[in-house]
Amino acid sequence: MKISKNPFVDLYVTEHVSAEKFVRIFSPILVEDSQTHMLFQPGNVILTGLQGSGKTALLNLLKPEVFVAYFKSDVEWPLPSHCAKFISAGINLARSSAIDFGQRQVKQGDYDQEKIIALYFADFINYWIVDDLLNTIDIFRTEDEASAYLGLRIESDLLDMFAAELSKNKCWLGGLESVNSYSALKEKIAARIASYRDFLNFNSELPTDIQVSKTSPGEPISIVAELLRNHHIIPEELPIFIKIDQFENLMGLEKEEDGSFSGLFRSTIMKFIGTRDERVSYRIGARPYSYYPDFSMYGTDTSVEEKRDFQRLDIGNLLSRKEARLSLFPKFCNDIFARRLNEAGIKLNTEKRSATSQVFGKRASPSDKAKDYVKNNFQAIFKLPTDWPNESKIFLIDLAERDPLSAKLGEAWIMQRIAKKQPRFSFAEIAERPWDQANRTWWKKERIQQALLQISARRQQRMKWYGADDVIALSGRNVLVFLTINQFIWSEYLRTGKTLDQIGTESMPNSIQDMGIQEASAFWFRKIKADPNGGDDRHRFINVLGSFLRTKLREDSRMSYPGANGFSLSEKDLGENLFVTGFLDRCEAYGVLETVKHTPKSKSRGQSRKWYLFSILSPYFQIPNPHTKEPFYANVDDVQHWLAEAKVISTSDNTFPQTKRKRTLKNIDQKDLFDERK
Amino acid sequence: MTREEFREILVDWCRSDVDSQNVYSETKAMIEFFEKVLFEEYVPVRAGDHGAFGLRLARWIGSAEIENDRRNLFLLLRYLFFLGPEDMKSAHLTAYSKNVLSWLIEIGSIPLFSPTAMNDLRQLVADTAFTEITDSFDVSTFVRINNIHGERIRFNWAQHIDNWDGNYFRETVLQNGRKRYLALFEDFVGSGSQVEDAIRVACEIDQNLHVLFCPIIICPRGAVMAKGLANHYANLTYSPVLELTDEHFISRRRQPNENADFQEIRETLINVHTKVAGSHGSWAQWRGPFGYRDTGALIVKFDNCPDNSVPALHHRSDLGWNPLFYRASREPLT
Amino acid sequence: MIRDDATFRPWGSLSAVFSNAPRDNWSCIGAISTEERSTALFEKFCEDYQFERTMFFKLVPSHSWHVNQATELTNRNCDKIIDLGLEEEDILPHNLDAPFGDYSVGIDRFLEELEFDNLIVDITAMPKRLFFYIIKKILLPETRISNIVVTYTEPRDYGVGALAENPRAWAALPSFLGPRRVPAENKIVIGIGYEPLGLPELVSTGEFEGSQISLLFPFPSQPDRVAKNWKFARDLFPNIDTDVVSISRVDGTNVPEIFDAIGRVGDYGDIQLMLAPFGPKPVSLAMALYASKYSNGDLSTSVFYTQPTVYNPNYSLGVKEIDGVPVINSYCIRMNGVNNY
Repeated sequence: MKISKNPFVDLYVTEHVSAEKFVRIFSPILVEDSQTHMLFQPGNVILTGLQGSGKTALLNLLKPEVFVAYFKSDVEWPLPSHCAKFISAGINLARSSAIDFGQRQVKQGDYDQEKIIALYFADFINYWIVDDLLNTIDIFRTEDEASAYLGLRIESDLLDMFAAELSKNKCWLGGLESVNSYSALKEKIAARIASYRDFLNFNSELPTDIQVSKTSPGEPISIVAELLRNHHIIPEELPIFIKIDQFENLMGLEKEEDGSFSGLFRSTIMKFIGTRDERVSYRIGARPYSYYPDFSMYGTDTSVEEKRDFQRLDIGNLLSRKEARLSLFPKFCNDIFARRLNEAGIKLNTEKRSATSQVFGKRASPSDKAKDYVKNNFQAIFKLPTDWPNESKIFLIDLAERDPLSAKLGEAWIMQRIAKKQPRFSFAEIAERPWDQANRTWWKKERIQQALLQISARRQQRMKWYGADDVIALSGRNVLVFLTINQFIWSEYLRTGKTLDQIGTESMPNSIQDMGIQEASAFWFRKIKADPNGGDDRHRFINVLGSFLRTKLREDSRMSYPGANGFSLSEKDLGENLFVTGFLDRCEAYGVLETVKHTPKSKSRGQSRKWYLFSILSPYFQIPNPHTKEPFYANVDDVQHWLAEAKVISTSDNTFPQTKRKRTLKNIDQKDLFDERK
Repeated sequence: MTREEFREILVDWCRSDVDSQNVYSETKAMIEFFEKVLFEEYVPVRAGDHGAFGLRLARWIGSAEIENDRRNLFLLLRYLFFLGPEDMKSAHLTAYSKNVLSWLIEIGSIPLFSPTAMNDLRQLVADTAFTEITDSFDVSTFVRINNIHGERIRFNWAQHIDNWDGNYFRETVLQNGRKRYLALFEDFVGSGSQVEDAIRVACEIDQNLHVLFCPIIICPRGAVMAKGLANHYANLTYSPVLELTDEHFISRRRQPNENADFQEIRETLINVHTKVAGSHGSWAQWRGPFGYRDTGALIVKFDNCPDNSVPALHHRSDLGWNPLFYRASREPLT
Repeated sequence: MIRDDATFRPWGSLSAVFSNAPRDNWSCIGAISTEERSTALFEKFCEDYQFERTMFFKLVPSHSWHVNQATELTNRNCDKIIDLGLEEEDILPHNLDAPFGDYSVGIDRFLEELEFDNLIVDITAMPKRLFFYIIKKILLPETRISNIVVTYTEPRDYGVGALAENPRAWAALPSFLGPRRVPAENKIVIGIGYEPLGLPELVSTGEFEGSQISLLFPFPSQPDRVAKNWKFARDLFPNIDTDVVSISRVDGTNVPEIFDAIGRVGDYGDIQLMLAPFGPKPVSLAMALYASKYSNGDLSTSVFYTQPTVYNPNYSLGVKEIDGVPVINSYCIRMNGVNNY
C-alpha cells in the first residue's frame, strides 16, 4: 500500500482532540517520571510549561472522557495504581470568558469596581467548576464499569438528596434556593452561567439575584466535594482534582495600562489554592512566570507559598537531564514518533534502534560536516594573515585538504598564541598539531561548533542539521517543536515523489532532513510574532540578538569566545532592572529564549543567568545549538541596546531602555519599525 | 533536467543563500504551496507529454544554460500572477454584481431607497444584451453563474466583426430596440488591439444605445485605449473588473521605481530568447522576449497563458526550450 | 445585489446610494484615527447633506515607540473633522485598548437617544470590536431606525511594513461569544488579509483541529495584494492539507456576495460557524451581518479575533479616488425598516 499523507500534518494533543484519539497517541513516557504523579495525588499543583511542552496532554489525563476512553479500549491506563483513581472538573479561563470580566463596567452601590469584579470573577469560576463537576458525575452515570472501578454510586435518589442538601448550604447565599432535585440543581447552575455569559457578551445586565449572592472563591466547590462524599456518591478517599487552565492569559507584569484586571484575577485564583482545603486539590496550568511576581491572595495580606500551599511541576525540568538520569525527552520523542508512524501504517521494529535513528540516521561527525561545507575549495576557509610564515600557511592549507576542521582550529590556535604574545612558535610545533593533542581536548571540543560556523560562512554555505540527534536537540524539550520539525521534513520528503512505505528500508536523505529543518526553523521564527503579550517585540528582539550572536561567533577568528551563542547577566544586574528582567522572562515564557542559572568563571559577576535562543531558532540564525563554554558576558547596557535597536519600549513611560548609547523617541527614524522585515 | 537534478540545484541555492534573507527558501516554499492549491489547475498541460508541475519546473529551469539565468527564472516566479478557475469565477461574479449593476443604477438613475428599486433594476437587466468580444470570455457561463434570465442569444463579436451586419445585430441581439443597454465582456485584454474594433462598432450602432465595456483583466496599455474610447464616445462606459498597473509588468527598458529584481530578470529574458524563440521560421507567431506588443506580462490564466506574457513562460521551441505553462495557440504552429 | 429572487441588497458609491435617498434625519457613528480616510465620509456627506446627530470615537493610540507620531496624526484628523463641522462634544476619546465597556456605554446611550430615522455607520477607521457590536445592536428589531447605511472608504494605498503588531490573545468579540458547547459539526471561516497576527500560533497549537476551515480570499485584487494574501495563507498553513482547508474567492468589497459565501459554508445558520475577521473591512462587515443574524441558540455564530495593540501610524495612505471622486462604498443594510440581511 502506498502511503502519501504526511503522518505529522496533525499536531499533538490539544484540548480539541477526541478522547478516543488521545488514547491512541498519548505517550506514557511523560508519566514514567514519578514527579508527574503529584498531578494525580492530593495536594495543589501548579503545572508550568511552554505551549507544546506536553502540559495539556498531562492535564487531559484528568478528563473523565479520557478515563472512560481508556477503560473501553485495550490500551492500558498509563498511571500506576497508587494514583490511578480520581475524578476531576475544571475551567479554561480563556475559553470560558472568565477573563472578560474587566471589559464591562459594573456598578453596585458604592463598592469599588475592582472589588466587585473580583467577586463576580470568583463566583463565575465557582459555578462553572461546580457545573463541570456535575457533568463529570453525569459522564460516569452511564459508564457502569468505569464507575464501579472508581467506587462511584451514581443513583438518582442519592443525587436528589445531595442536591437538596447542597442548595440549602449557606455558601450559596441563597443563590440555589428552591432547588430540590438534581436536575433542578443543574438547571439552576446552568442558568446562572448563562446569565453571566449573556452579561460578558454584552447582551444583558446581571440579574439582581446574582448581584446579591456572590460566593467566595472555592467554597462552593469544596462543599460540593464534601457532600458528594457524605452521600456516598463518591468514595471518601477518592481525590477530586480541579483544573484551572490558561492561567497565562492573566499574565502581565507591568501595570495594566488598558485597565485590565490581570493582577486582580491572578490573586483571586491564588485564593482558591490558598485555603489549603483538603476536600479538593487544584491544578493550575500556566506558562513559566505567569504567576510572577507574587502569589498574593486577593483581599488578604498573605500569599500562597510553594511547598506549603502548592507544589510546582515544570515540564521543561521534568524532561531535562538530571544528575542521576538521562533526559526523558529523547525517549518521549521516539515514542511519539513511533506512534505517529504506526498510525500512518508504517511499523518499525524498535527493539535495537530507536525509531528516529532508523528514519533519520546518525548525525554527521564534525569533520565530515566540515568536508561537506568545504567541498573542494580548501583555501577559502582561512583568513591567514599576510605576516604569517609561508610554511605555516602551506601546512594549514595542505591539512585542510584532508581535515578542514582541524586546519581551521589550527588557524585559531595560532592566532590565539600570537594574540597572547606567547613565544614565537616553530613550524615543527605547528606540524605536531597541538590543538588536536590530548591535553587540548577541551579546548578543541569547545570550539568545534564555532569552527564549523566559520567554515560554512567562509564557504558561503548555510550550516546543516540532520540526523536523529539533531532533530531531537533542536526540539528543545518541546514536543510541539519536534512534531513541527517532522511535519516539515516529511512534507519535503513527500515532495520528492517518494511514498512513505519506503521508509524503514532506507533512512531519509540528509538533504531532505536539512531542508525540512531549515524551513521549520524559519516558520518558528515567523510565528514568534503571533504570540500575545508582545510577540512582535520579541520577534524583533530575537532578530537583533540572533544576528549579533552570529556575527560575534563568525568574526571571532581566534575563537576566543566559542560560547557566544548565548549571553549571561548577573542576578544583581537583573534585580536592578525590572524592565529587562520582565522582558527576558517573557521571552522564556513564550519559547523564544531558554535560560538556566549559572556560576560564571569570572567570580566578580556573582550568580548569573544565561540565555540561549530557543533551540529551533538556531538554524534560522545559523548559530550552533549546543550550549558549551561560557556565554557572552553581557551587561544590562548590552541588553538595553539590543532592546532599543529592536524598538522595544517600556510601556510605562514610552521610552527606550536607557543605554549609554542614547536613543530617544525623537531621534529615531520612525519609518524604521515598520520596515519590511523578512 | 530531471526533478531530482533540479532539486539538488535548488538545495544548493538555498544553502548558499546565507545573508540575503532566505529569498530562495521563501520562493521555494511559495512555489510548493502554489503547486498544491493553484498550479495543478492549468488546463493546457493536462493532455500530452508536458508532465506535472514539478517536472515542468525542472525542465523549464534546465532549459536555461547559464546558472545566473536559471536563478533569475526561478526568482521570476515570485512575481507570477496565476489566475485559477475560482479566481476567474469570482471575477465574473463581480463583473455582474458590481460593474454591470452599478452601471445600470447610474444610467438608469434608480432610486435605491424606492420600494420599486429592485424591480426597476431587474427590468434594466432584462433590457441589457450581454455579449462576448472573443470566445475566451464564455458569456454562456457568465449568464448562467450570475442567474441572468432571458438571455437567449450568445453574441460573439470576433465572429461577426469582419462581416459586420448591423441590421442583423439590431434585430437579433438588440431585439429591435427592446434591449437599450449593451455590455461587452472580455476576459483578458493586453494592448487592446483585439477589442478596439468591436467597441467602436458597438458605440456607433446608435448613440442612444448605452454601451458598457467590461474587461475582467486589462493591462495598462489596454486601459489607456479603453479610457481613450470612453472619452471619445459619450455613450460608452469603461468599467474594468481588474485593471493592472505598470509595476506588475517587465518592460523592455528599465523604468524608474520598478521592482529591484526586474533588471536581472529582464536580462535573462533577453539572454534566453534565442532558445525560447527556436530556429528561424519555426515559430509562426514570433514574439519578442516580452511577449505580444512587448507587454511584459507575468500572467498565467488557468485556461491558457496569454500571448502578452513573456514567451519564456509559455513557448516550447525546437531548440530545447521547455515552457512552464505551455500556451495553446489559436494560430497554426508553423 | 440582485440574483433571482434573492433579497435586494443595494450597495455602491456614496453618490449612487444617496442620489435618491431620504434627505433628512441622518445621524452618524464613526471613528477618527491616524488615517486620513477616517474623515472622508463626513467630509463628502456634508457637501450635500447635514447630520442631525453624530458620535465619533477618537481612538487614542496605545503606548508604543511611535505613539508621538500616531497621536499627532490622530489629532490632526480630529482638528480637520472639527473644521468640517463636527461638534467637539460629539467626539469621544478612548484609548484604543480601553475595556470595551467604556465604548459600549457611549454606543448604547447614543442609540437609545436616537430620535431620528436614518443612520450611517462609517466603519472605515473603526476597530472590529466596535463595529461588530454596533451592527448587531442596530439590527435588533427594537432599534427604531428606518434606514441604515454602512460606509467604508478605500485607501489610496496601504503602509509599508507591518500594519499592526503585538496581538492580544484569541478572544471573542463583544456580543459574539457563541454557544457554550460548540457542536461537533462546526466550521471555521477566516477572512484572509495582510496580517495573520495571532492566527499562526493558534493553527500550530491545534486550536482549529477537528474543524473544517474555510478561507475567504479577496479577489479580484491587484497582484501585489494577492501575493500578500497568499503569504497570509502560507503563514497559517505552510503544509496545507486541502482536505481540511478550502479557499473561496470573494470580492473584497461586495458585501452581499460575501454574506452569501459565508451562508453557503454555514448553511445559513444550520451549521455553527466561528468567524475570524482578519480580512478587508467589507469582508468583516459581511461577517458581522451574518453573525448578527444567526446569533441565537446552540448554533449561534461566534466571532473570534486577536486584537492588535499597536497600529502602524501609516496604516493606510490617502483616499482612493476614481475620476477625482473618493471611493466610499456604501452598503444599505436596512431600508424602510426592513433588514436586508
